Amino acid sequence: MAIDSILISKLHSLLGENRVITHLDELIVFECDGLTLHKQMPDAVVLPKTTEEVSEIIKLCQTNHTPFLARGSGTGLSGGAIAAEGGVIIQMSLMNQILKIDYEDEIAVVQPGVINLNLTNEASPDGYHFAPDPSSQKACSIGGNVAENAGGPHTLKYGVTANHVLGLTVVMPSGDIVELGGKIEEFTGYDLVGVFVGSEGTLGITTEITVKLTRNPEGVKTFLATYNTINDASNTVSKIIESGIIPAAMELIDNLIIQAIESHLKAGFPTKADAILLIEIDGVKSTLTEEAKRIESICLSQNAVNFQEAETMEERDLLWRGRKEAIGALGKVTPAFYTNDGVIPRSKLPEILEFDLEIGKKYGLEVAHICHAGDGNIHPIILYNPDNKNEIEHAIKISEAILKKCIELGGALTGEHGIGTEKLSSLGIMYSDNDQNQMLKLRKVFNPTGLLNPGKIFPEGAKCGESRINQTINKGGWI
Amino acid sequence: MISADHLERQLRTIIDGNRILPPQPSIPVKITVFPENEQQIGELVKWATKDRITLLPLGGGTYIFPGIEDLHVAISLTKMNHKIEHVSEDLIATVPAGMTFKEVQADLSSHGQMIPLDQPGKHVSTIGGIVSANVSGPSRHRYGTARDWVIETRLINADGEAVKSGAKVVKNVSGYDLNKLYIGARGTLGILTHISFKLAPIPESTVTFRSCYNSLTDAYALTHLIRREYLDIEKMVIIKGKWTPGKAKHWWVLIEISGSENGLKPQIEHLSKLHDQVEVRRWNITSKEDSQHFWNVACNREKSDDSVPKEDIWEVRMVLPKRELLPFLVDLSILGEMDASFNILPTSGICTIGIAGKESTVTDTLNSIIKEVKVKKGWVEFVKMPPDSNFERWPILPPSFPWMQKIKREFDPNNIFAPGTFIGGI
Ligand SMILES: Cc1cc2nc3c(=O)[nH]c(=O)nc-3n(C[C@H](O)[C@H](O)[C@H](O)COP(=O)(O)OP(=O)(O)OC[C@H]3O[C@@H](n4cnc5c(N)ncnc54)[C@H](O)[C@@H]3O)c2cc1C
Ligand SMILES: Cc1cc2nc3c(=O)[nH]c(=O)nc-3n(C[C@H](O)[C@H](O)[C@H](O)COP(=O)(O)OP(=O)(O)OC[C@H]3O[C@@H](n4cnc5c(N)ncnc54)[C@H](O)[C@@H]3O)c2cc1C
Repeated sequence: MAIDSILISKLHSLLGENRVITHLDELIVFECDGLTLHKQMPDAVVLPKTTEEVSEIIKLCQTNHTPFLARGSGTGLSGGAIAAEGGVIIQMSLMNQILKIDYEDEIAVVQPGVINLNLTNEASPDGYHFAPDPSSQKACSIGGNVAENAGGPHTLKYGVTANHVLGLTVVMPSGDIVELGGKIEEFTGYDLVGVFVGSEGTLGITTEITVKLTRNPEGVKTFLATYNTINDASNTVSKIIESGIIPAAMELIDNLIIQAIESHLKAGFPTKADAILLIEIDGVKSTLTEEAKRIESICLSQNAVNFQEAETMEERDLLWRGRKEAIGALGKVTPAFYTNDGVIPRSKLPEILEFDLEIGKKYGLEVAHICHAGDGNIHPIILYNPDNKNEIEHAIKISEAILKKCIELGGALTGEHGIGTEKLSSLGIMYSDNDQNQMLKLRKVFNPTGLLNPGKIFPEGAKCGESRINQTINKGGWI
Repeated sequence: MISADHLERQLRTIIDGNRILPPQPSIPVKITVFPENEQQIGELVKWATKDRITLLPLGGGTYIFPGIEDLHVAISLTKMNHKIEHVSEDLIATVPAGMTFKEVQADLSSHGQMIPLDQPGKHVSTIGGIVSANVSGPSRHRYGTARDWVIETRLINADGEAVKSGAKVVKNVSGYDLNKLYIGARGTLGILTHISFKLAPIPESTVTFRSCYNSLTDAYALTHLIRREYLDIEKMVIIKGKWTPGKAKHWWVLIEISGSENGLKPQIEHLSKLHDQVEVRRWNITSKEDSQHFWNVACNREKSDDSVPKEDIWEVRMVLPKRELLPFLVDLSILGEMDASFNILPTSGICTIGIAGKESTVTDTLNSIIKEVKVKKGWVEFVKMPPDSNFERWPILPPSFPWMQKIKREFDPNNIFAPGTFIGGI
């Protein structure tokens, strides 16, 4: 769809020439997000500075029957931030102010373009942080976190983004500006904030967000448990949960990823281990020693060959740096990779990991793991050669088979990356037509013309979009 | 006018006669049915749509308010299959909506696990009712609300179909999270049949501190102090009047801390020292039996040993920004009155006030509460009021209210689910 020149000139008069991008060589940056598998060029990108400007842009798009969507930092991993059916991308990065931090009410009010980690950095001198901590937190925006209901390693104890959002200012697809929720702990009537979080930018565009701030714990202990088999490591996970301990984080990393991390930076992970668990507990200091002992004994009972505690803050930071930079490090061991975001009930962890490795073997590709294991969010990473068409096809087949298996085991298609364009065709294996129709009622309420972020989540509206998306895998996704 | 006889004849074509009963006196319907399974509920919904019958989803019936008009048929899920699907190693359970909370908790506790929400006032309260009412109590400080624990629901929708939202996993962004919409929807969007929860481990041991104060400000001082400290607080509430664990005229704070036997000792010492830093009349660590009784009183489960002069007939629940709650309450003219009761969750900005007196004598007080709360961008719900009162149950409509109406119209186009009983006549 070529964009209407009248629309462009109206956008120019609204925002000035500098904040409207239409040149092809500048637009190319916006043709995909972190999922390089799916590509589609927008026709224009605009950079609003205020809620009112967002509203005006939306009204112009609606009048011109042009699709539009918001984009934060473009780190999404399911194709959510691409213009699947062309049209206008509303880039939120100029709306990047922390408007208010209030420690008495334990809240912050931010614009959507604020980078996740910046909020935590701002609050940390006062002993607070923003709890959702995706591994992309140095880059991703809080607006994107809200849209994807982002999680992170510490989601296990502290919950996902939805548990930390109190209020939103939203520009509806009609252009109406509406306050949902507020600066209070609970709201009356239907929980509109609750359904907006995680709706992948398909119900409205968020321009202001009130989040809860979380007090830093008094004490933290971080452990590294080493295993000779991945099975022992995954068995440990549900044994710990069942024993009544909810660690702050519990991550499983397998040998392939350990190798990559250690060749990238010396984080201190044992390169001979089949798998390790990175376990963190936090809370009131006096309770931690005992909890640590219980965790150690569970790990050893499940055949951990080594169990050690990070002795200094530096050691702890290095372990976490290793975890968070693991994906960047993967570039050293493979030319490309494809990340899957399936979730299973955590007691099924041993079963799904075995399945992943088997299915990888069947198609002749290696599958590596860096799981948010405590949450059952498995993140298998399929390594492949982007110049080999066969391998590309096999990578996709492996990923689809894993998702199917997750659903068979009572799990879900995606724990934190969203359906986006990526998993449209899989939605039906998790939800019946009736289930999907019930969800579509919500979209009809807020986005009746379907012009906001079309071609996402639901396969029915995607048909036209899918054909436009260029299915090429090159450098692979992240986690 | 549709008569109960007519309804009964129609219902008998769908459901066994012994599952059709006259309503309890407090339930504003003509007749109650107790379906056996989801399929029957689906058929009831389809019949209701065709014949323009209104339905009231019903649990224990403890939190049902009259709507604009009387409804036709209450659908109670209390006689459906009571089988809990509990996977303890996953810390997850799927529970039939018609089971009582008490029954479910008893079952889970044998595995050392729980749904970490407060047991409401009455033992008959059901899982479906608790999730649909979404009222929280003193556990909220640590555990939040149903919204933080529900991970999957099955609901019979307006088409009479069973629809699922979410999954039995703790993290999931597949499709819209409709669970959030159903929680607190008061039965106006459909009938919940099953609900899956994340569970929490039951703490190894707990200890309750009770303290008594001359003024609300003094009581608040303790809870303020605590916010700056590190303690594993399980529950916390500030109370006066009918909810008190002692003399009703004083202000009281109840705090429960938790941990392992050993982990608790230093915390007990720490919290004891904090009590010495505030203007407290007296405080103590309560015995196991007393603790249970005091928490039951604070949560409406038992009556206080000391009685307030007059039984209240008004109960108003309000939510304000946390920092605004104390100054707001301090300015209230009824703060010191003998027959006013207060139940405050200070770390959540939530307060319930019980007031005695005829409408003519309390109108000014209630109006000034509503006015002030509105200014502070909070909200108010009348949890208890005389049936003939002129007050709106939800006197403050949020700016997003028109969108709530649109949701109701889309999810319940024939307006069959508890019409007129929710905010703004939804
Ligand atoms: C290395 C790496 C590691 C990652 N680790 C994690 C992880 O641990 N946990 C996790 O959850 N995710 C992770 N992700 C995925 C990604 O970072 C998150 O989904 C993040 O929340 C996306 O934020 P963003 O600002 O980049 O959003 P974008 O990618 O720009 O957009 C994502 C979606 O949000 C919508 N959106 C953005 N802003 C708005 C707005 N203001 N209003 C309405 N809709 C909006 C877009 O339309 C799109 O649908 C990772 C990604 C990478 C690259
Ligand atoms: C600590 C505490 C103390 C409380 N004390 C009191 C008190 O003293 N007095 C009081 O009135 N309340 C009190 N409550 C409120 C309490 O939430 C309700 O009493 C209870 O949750 C309702 O459960 P129920 O089974 O009786 O539901 P019902 O009263 O039967 O129903 C409540 C609402 O949920 C809907 N509903 C019920 N089941 C379903 C279903 N399966 N699907 C869809 N919708 C459904 C109904 O239509 C109705 O709108 C208290 C709550 C707490 C947490």
